[in-house]
Amino acid sequence: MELEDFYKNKITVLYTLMEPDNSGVKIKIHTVQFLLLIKTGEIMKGLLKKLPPFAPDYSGVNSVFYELGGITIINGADGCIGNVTGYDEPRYFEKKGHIFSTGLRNIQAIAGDENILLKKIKDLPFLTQVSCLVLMGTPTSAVIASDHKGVAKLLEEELNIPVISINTTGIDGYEMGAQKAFLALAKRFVKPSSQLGSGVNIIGATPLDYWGRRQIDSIVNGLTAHGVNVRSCWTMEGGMKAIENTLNGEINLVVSVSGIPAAKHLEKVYGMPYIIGVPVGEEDTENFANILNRKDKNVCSEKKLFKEERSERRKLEKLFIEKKDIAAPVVIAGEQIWANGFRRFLSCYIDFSQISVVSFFQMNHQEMAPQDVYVNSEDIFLKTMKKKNPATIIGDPLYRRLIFSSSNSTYVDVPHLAVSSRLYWNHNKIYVGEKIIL
Amino acid sequence: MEKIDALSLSKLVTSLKKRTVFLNKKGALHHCPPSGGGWGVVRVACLVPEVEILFVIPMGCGRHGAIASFANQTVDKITYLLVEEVDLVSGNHLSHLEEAMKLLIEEKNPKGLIVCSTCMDDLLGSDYESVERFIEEMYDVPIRHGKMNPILSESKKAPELMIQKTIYEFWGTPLDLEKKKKNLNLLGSFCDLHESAEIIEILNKMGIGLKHISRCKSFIEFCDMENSMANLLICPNGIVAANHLDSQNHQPYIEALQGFCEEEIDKAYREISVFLKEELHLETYKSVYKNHCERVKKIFKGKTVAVGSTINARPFELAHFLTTLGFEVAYIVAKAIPQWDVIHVKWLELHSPKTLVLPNLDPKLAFCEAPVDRVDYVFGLDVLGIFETIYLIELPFDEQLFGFGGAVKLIERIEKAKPFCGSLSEKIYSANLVI
Repeated sequence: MELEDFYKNKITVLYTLMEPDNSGVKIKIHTVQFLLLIKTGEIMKGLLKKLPPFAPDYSGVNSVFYELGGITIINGADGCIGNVTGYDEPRYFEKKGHIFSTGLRNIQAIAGDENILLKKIKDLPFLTQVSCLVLMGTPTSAVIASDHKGVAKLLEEELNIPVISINTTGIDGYEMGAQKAFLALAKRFVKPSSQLGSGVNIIGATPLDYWGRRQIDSIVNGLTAHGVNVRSCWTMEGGMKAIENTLNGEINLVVSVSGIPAAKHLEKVYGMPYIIGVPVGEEDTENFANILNRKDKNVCSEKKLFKEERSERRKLEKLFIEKKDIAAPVVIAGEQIWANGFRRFLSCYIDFSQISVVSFFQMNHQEMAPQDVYVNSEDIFLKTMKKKNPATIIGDPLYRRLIFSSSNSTYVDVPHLAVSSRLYWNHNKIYVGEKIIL
Repeated sequence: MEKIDALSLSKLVTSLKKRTVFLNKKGALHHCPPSGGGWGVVRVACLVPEVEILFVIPMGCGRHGAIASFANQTVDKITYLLVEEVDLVSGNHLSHLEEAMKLLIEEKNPKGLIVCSTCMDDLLGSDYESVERFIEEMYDVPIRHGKMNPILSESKKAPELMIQKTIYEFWGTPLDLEKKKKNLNLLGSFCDLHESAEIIEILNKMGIGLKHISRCKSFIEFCDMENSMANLLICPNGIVAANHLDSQNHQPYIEALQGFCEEEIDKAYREISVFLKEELHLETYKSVYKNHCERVKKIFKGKTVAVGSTINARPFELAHFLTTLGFEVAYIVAKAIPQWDVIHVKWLELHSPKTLVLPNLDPKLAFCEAPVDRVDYVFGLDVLGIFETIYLIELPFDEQLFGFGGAVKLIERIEKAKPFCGSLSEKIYSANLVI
């Protein structure tokens, strides 16, 4: 029973997420069934037979800080940085980022690397001219427990620039790293203000989700057309100045799970309200605009954005969906907040309960519908698909590899950079904002 | 140029030692652009036919190889077992490994399995050996262990060297010397020789076959290579494998490193000739080569060149060859000066003293917003990002030039080169360099 004890917590949580309406007794039964599956080898957690490993946490951190004019240092052997520069950072050739590897080698790892690390960083040119210095860990530095916090403190004292250490390990997903990075920005760089100003800050946009320049423009243009003043976009527009002046805005719009802890922090410390959600489609954009313009400080959840009535515009959106052969039941596989937005877009035509969000990435409990599923392995993803038997699947093209051998579902490709990396990052689709192009 | 610490050849010559000299400062951070690569851990492991690859990795370590393998059509051979922090602390990832190996063998029925671990397991001292032997005995499927551990880069056990040894560890006991087949195995390269290589014809005429792992259709065919009479080491990364096969399988190797200079090509053929105890008739090929070299000297005279490290060639040897063709080698971007390139560095010091050498990972390269300098030709994608140029000459890892024919092919490529007008990023991404 050793294995059972080991997995007990994880599987209970997993199944609670999968079927939140179930009674405790049912959960227990499922838990036992689950353990049996693991023991017989039917479910192998962490085994990727068809999919690539997803973007790791340090890629998430880099993605947040990339445009902020700082220097990013990854403490590891050079392979780790290869992921970031070559596979998770589509902006690399547009704007060369200052990102470095410490080139950690065996002897340093054995003898302790903090002094060497300090020296290597201090030898870097232009250090005092940058907005900040970010130091993060990798699997190797995690194993040897490098004291990044201590090194950051020493460097900050000596260099007189903000030095932030972010506790990444290369074991978690990108969204965990991005959350830590956005939170660090909120804690370290937002300038206090006695009174909130006006306008909206978008929080949580990095290319690792769906956020290329065109997607951001689509959201911003849509909201602006309805009279919303979009002040900044953490962290793809406005740079460090925009972060510092966050409190000159009045409300935050959180567009990904990665941005939630930072928004919560700003609400807790400065009383700055936030809405979680991504506007998808014309009506949805108008709904968002109305709420943002109303400055309704009680709105904290996108669930309040649903409208039952059908407008003329909705009828046009319905036509668009019909043309794409999107039929119920639908599974949207992707980042939760975007997927929720897309579900709202589809719900003019398909019953809400017939659209499920399935994600390999962290999901926020409050934003989950009863039919939504968090998956942490290919096997569970497949079993979920079997159970839901969707007529339409919307998700990253690489998920096709898991599904299409035995499925007649219609598949709508929506590339998610954290999954398929550079294989599809030059796509022309727009799946947020007023004008959707699929 | 003020910002970059370029090294002069005269300074480099004074630091040359018997062992490899690494050019990147030990105490400096590394700038690692997407144009670096060519290590080949995933690529080499995937060369073995009918064998599955299982990477036991944290999420961050397998991503580049996985994405690149999609483009390389090798994705279906590779499985990833992601490890979690709690598993590493408790050592439980080895239990998961056991399950994963069973699953893989039962589902895919491979002829062999390569399990690859990473830097983390090097530091933890994880005992893969016992788990692998246990499963090997249980299923009677050979399992070999490879490592993708850049933490050992620049050492004698660097991953790009060791993975080449790993794949040949599948071989068992070879035939007795007198029963050996009249074949030579190509060692060190990612692919078979380019058709321009005259050695194929020369050996064929002598009744000797030339084998490369990439041509093997089955595991049995691959294992049959152990019965070849010798290995032909054509790329430096195969040196550990060559020594291993020499000592463990009694299969000697001929050091015939690919090169473009006349002396290098002559040396390679001399080694082959000595081993075969037969004279090789190279006159025709050599004469074509010489004619080409002489003909283009006037055309190339005074044209400036930057030679990079992301090429399927040795940067200093290539710089030597280009200088003999009349080029003015302005820059060489390199990682190291291995023993076999010392002779070329010394030659360049005498014949091209103005050449500057840049360490390929120099952090200052990241701060160069504008190109460092302008040259007429760049060789390799890593220098394309550093220098402004007219012509890009590629020597990709998926094409193995060799001998006089290889050099002629390169000369023709330079002559026919059209001004580079494409996208640097697209070029780099399509080259799939990292794996």
